Amino acid sequence: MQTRIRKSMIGAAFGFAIALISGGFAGILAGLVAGLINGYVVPEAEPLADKRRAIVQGLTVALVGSVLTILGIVLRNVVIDPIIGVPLNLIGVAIAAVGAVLLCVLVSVVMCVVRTEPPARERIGMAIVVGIILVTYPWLDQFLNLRFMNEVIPVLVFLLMALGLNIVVGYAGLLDLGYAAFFAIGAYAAAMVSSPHFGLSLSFWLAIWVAAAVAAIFGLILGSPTLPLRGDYLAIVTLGFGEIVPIAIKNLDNVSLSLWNYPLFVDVDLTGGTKGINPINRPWLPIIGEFSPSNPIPWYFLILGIMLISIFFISRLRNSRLGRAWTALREDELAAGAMGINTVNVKLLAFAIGATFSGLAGAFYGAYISAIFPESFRFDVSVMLLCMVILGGLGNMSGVILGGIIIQFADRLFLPQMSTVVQKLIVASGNESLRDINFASDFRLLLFGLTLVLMMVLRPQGLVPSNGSARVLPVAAGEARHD
Amino acid sequence: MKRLSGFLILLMLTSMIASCGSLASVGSGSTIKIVSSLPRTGSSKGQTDSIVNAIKQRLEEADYKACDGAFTIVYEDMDDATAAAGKWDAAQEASNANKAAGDSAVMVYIGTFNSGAAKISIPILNQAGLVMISPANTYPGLTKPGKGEADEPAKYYPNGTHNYVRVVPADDLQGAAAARWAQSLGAASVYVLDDTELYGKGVADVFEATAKELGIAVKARDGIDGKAADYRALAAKIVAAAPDMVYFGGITQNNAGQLLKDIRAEGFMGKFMGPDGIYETAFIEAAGADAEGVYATFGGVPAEKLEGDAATWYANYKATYNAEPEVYAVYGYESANVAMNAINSVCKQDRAAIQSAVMGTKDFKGILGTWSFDANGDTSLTSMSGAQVVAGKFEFVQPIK
Amino acid sequence: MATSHPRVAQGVPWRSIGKILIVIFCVLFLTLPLIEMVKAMIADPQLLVRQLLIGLTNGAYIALIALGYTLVYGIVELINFAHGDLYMLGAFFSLTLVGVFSLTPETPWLIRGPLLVVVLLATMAFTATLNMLVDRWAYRRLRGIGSRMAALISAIGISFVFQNLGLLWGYLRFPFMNGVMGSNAVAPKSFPALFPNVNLLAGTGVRFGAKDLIVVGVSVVLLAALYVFVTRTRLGKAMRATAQDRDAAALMGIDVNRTISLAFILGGALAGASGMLVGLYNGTAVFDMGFTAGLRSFTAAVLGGIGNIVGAMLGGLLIGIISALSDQYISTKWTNAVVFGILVIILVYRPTGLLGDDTAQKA
Repeated sequence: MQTRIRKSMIGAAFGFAIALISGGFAGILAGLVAGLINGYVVPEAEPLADKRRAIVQGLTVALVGSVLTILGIVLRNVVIDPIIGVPLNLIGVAIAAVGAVLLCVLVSVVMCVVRTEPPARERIGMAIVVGIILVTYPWLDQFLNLRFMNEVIPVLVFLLMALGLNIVVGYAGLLDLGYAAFFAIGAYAAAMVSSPHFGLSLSFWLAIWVAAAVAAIFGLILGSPTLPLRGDYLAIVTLGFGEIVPIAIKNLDNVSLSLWNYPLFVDVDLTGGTKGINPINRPWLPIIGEFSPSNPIPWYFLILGIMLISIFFISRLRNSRLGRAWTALREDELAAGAMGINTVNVKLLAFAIGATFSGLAGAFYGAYISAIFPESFRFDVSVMLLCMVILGGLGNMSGVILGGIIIQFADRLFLPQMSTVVQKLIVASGNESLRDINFASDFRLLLFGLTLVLMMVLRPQGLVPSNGSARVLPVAAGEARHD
Repeated sequence: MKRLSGFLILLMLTSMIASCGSLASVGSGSTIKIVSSLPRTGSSKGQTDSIVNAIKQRLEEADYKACDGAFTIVYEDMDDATAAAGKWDAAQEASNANKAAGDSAVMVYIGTFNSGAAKISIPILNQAGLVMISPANTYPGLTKPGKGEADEPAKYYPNGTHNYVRVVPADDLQGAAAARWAQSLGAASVYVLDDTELYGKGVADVFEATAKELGIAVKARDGIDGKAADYRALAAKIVAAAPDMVYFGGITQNNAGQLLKDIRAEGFMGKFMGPDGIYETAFIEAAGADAEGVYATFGGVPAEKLEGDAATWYANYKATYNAEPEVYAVYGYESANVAMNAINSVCKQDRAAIQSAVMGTKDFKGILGTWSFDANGDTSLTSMSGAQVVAGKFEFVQPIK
Repeated sequence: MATSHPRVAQGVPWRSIGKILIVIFCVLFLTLPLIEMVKAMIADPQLLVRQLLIGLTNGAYIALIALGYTLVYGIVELINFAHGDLYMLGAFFSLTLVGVFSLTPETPWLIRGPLLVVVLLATMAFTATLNMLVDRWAYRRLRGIGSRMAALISAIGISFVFQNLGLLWGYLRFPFMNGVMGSNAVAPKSFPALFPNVNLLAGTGVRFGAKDLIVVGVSVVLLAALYVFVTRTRLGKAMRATAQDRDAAALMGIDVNRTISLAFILGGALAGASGMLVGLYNGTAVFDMGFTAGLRSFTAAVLGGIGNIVGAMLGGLLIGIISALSDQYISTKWTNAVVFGILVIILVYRPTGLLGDDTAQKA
């Protein structure tokens, strides 16, 4: 019982924070998130087989979740909003609170019950619950007037890349600090063929395959020099490529190449240089027409579709002969080689397949923004992706997704909104000396950094550690000692 | 399972409809929103602080009211940078633009700071019919046909009408003016550098081309990494090339101060010139004593030389924010000024009407003087000024033809 | 299967084909530019010497920062991402002290010299303490629990925190600081030119300023002191023992946590020293300068063989010289790519760096 309440504080805390920071009807979303997290985390810690007890379990965690969420809603909409000049809307608050409780109870009870099913049905059940939430989300967002959709799409792009990086770092154990290079290569490959830049205006549906293929080829090319390297030497070489690729993209806007003294071509604008490439063709579908930037819903389903397909492929790969070879490689390269695994091919395949997903993400990103610039692919993208992978739990897909969601939302949605609220509070307090400090921009890095540090110190294994590695790894003893 | 999911959907729908009913109170008809989208995190923060201050200053003067109190003005300061990137982020700018486009109370979009960001948001806002006023974009291709790539600027305006104006003159004017000024200062040879970013490279390209036309010898052209620790090796190279002048197309934040210090420490005694990206106190503070004698070009007239309304503005700004306004502050103020003027003349929550009012701004008496927008959305104020650092301050030298 | 030779399993020798292709490419496209480069070097030997000297000075301070990485890496195998930002904080701290002591280029040397030493020591103490505290709060708890990655992310987080502290530092305008922070919080800060810039080689056509000598001199002294400390003293031995095998060291009665703390203290002190030196030498400091400096230095540490003190010095020197030559003979905008390109090539042929051994791979 105690673990149950303690564990349900995780989701409750999220609900509280979202309700407090976002205000308005986001409280309803907060309830949903609290229910979803608790429904996932608690039965994992306390598995039950009995349906009736599972319902009780669901109700308990939902109680904890919704109490804190309502606290957040009240604190924000009733206490803070009037201070910062938003008129109090008691009916709205009531609706938000009731909606939050309903969704929280519903989702956590359903998930707890689904968890009692035998594994095969359990998986389908969970997929259905999550699927319903994902599919209905755009309309939820629209009706609640949240306007989170425009943040959700870039977050999903980053998640897709994190999944790809997870293949390289999590599965094969190759620390890659330059993964953004493949993102850049994919985005530029797609942009070059599907924009007026070279006069080739291919459709997005073709360009995305070109991007994936080109990224994979570059994965092979850039992966090959790293073959003899191990550990952090590998990391620094990948970092080097991560630095070289954006510089090359930036400076390859007037390429001249001469074979001895015979100029092959002179002043070719390969990449658009600092100007970047735009406009890039947007996808077109029969009924929807050309995807428009103002309507995020088609984009959402497109990236969601790409993600689902990728997740399917990656999970199949994970359990394939190649996936097991990656695990062997990660645990002990020497032993893996001795067992007859072709370490060279296996490593190269990890780079190439990892890069493919990044290429897909790049192609989507370019089409979504409809423009790309060399600045978008710098080292910090690689670092951020690595944080997402490690924070969630190395080698575990649901962990990576969770970690990615937390980091990306913290950076794009949560911290800016929180800063805005604090800023408004400062202004409302009328304190002249504090007014000069712009909280929104002056403390953002600090808060972001602290988030990373706290997350790591509190959960060093990642949010959802990989069960596979815990079972196999000799360090598991250390992990057990910690918990 | 099926029954459950059906119930779930039903519940979601009911909660949505329920909440929809109460939404009416959120966006009431008497509120007009002005948003700005600028990089508020990271290296451009100093400049954008100044712009945001100036926008707020203009709105505070109107007490956040328009049309004699019929409308309340709400201002939102959006950040198009992410903490992780430390500078503007394409996805974030797209998100800001989409958010503004989707919020029916938003009537004016002030931004962006970076021309690259504008390339993303102009088409989005164009399709939403929302007017965009930039206080800082100087990339010529955003508005002027024939100055950028072949399909510019048409590609930014998918619905055919222009919805974008800028109160700041574009680079093609500044780079050319700088080259002419360099010639009149007696520079026979130049070494042209840029910070490998859109703004800096653009203005340096124009400078280089004009200099060649004018018969100034361009010794070399190179780009620097704005985040490098030092430029001593480059400085030695410059000293060896012995040009009369070094021209740096770039901004203070991309290490202009360090570049100048290293060039001087290496023993270069010639002239150093830059665009309005270095026309700010921050540059003089960064370069220290070496800033003495540096030339900079900028559009319009320097803030402290302003007269009439503008002089009042300058004094007020200093009094309110206890700081010198940076170079773009005056443009930030003027952007808000144009926006308020259009809102006051339309007095309706009507994007199309406000857009045409802004686009049609004629003989507007702002703090930059009396000016108009041309059909492309460029300001008629094309006068360029030259300034030089004297005793630790930029002093106005002469207008440049 | 297990008996088959690994070579057989590879099938088509893709790697040899790749290498041959690379060689052909280099011969066809790079020979002429290379000849041009050598011609340019011969044409102006004084400039070449000047660039080499610039490379030497830059290499000296890169090595100083690189040592901080190498010390910490050698002992806990953590890529300390926050190290570059610690260096930045060192620069800011020393600039503040310079303002407090109101040092200017006019201050007579009798006062300026001792005060500069005080600033140096105080900065070293500041960054050393900071690094130790960070180790205690953010890294120590993550040690010995499975993945090294947790500490890596923690270090990235600390790096963001430091950067933000540097930004907030720019707001400090106490009257006793004499306005060293300027009026704009995020803009680069200027150091007064406290190191003299007289040319020591006047008349030879080559420049080597007094301040270059100071930087090289202080760096060499600090590097030598560190080398002696690590190889000759008891504590140094304890550090090396801990680096080799933490458990065995603990069994031998070495307080492992204290020894690791010591590595962080020493690394922090070096970051502080380089922050001050580079600040005064280059003349500016900005809150986001730590990242690039850190990247360069970390690269130097890896190039030399990470965990190896002499290797870090060699790596720093090499990177300093390569960048200077690339700035002069190729193009500044390609310099970073050239540095990393050469790094990749060196590591392909020497997979553990120039002087590295296999210790780094035991993870």
